[in-house]
Amino acid sequence: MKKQSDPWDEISRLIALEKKTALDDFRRREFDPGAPPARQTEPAPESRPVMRRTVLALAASILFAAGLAFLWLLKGSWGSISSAPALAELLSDSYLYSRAGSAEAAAPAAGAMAPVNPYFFGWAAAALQRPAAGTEEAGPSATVERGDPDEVRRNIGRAVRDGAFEQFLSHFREIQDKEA
Amino acid sequence: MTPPLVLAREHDGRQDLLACRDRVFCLCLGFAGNTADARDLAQETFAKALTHYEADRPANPQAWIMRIARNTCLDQARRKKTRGPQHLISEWNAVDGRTPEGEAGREEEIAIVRRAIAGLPGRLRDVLVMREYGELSYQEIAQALDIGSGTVMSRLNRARRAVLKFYREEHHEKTK
Repeated sequence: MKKQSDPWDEISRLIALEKKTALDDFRRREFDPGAPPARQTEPAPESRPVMRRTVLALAASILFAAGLAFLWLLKGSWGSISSAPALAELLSDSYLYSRAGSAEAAAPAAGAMAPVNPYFFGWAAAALQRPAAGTEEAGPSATVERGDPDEVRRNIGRAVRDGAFEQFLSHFREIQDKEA
Repeated sequence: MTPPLVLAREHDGRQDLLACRDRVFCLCLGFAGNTADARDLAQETFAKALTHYEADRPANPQAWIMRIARNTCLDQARRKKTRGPQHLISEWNAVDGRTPEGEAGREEEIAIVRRAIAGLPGRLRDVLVMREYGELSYQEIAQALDIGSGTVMSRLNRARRAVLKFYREEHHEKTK
């Protein structure tokens, strides 16, 4: 212990010197023990909003996890949980849907062509002044009754390639001009 | 109307508190590390003490206010980082009027001691600061910290050894 006391005396002396200097400064100025500190310390950083956000995020996470667990328990497995009700279920009460006969007819598949309107093809065939070979036997009225949609489709394709629609439009314009 | 005896007792208690004004300031200096913070902390300590004196009626007012001072210092240290001993040099010169050349070595040594104390674990630093800066007896420190006198002595011994070790190492580095 004696061995340590000597070096510590040096430290004690330094501390005493520091205290003396500070005390001199302290005593030179007026000190009112009852008054609040002149230089208020900086306010503590606002931790409440951070805490509130954290707690809210945590609560939301817990609720979400609880909801998922509840759903899983209810359905038994993830596979049986559908993301949305089937379209057929939604449309089952629809009048048009029931008239269509099947769900597939009411809900056209992507990429498939729209149901063919026989009146349109009859009108289109009649409009084509020079129908391609093979379509002559199917007159405007006959296509309504006996028109083969595939054949009509082929004819329209051919008419598009031959520029028949452009001719039809120009003809239609001439009629309009005449009427005007 | 307040009885004269109560007034006298209150007056005595407050006088006891005010009598240890310098010790409270020095204790705050030990924790804060600079005069400006120490002054504010001392003022805050007295404000708290005078507010709660009547309710607490401490048996040992000096140990009681030292405990308040220590808690105030620790609260402030938690709230913000103290400015540290960097103000020491200017204060030193302002007070004593010594030349920077003559006192530079001493200031540096004091700064090393301050850094050593600041680096101590809290339980060792509390005891050392109370003893060396607050000049409290072992018994008073034990009372203020709610620990035994033997614990105070062992912590003080460890704290001193740690400060000495740091001081020697730093001093050795400087004189190399």
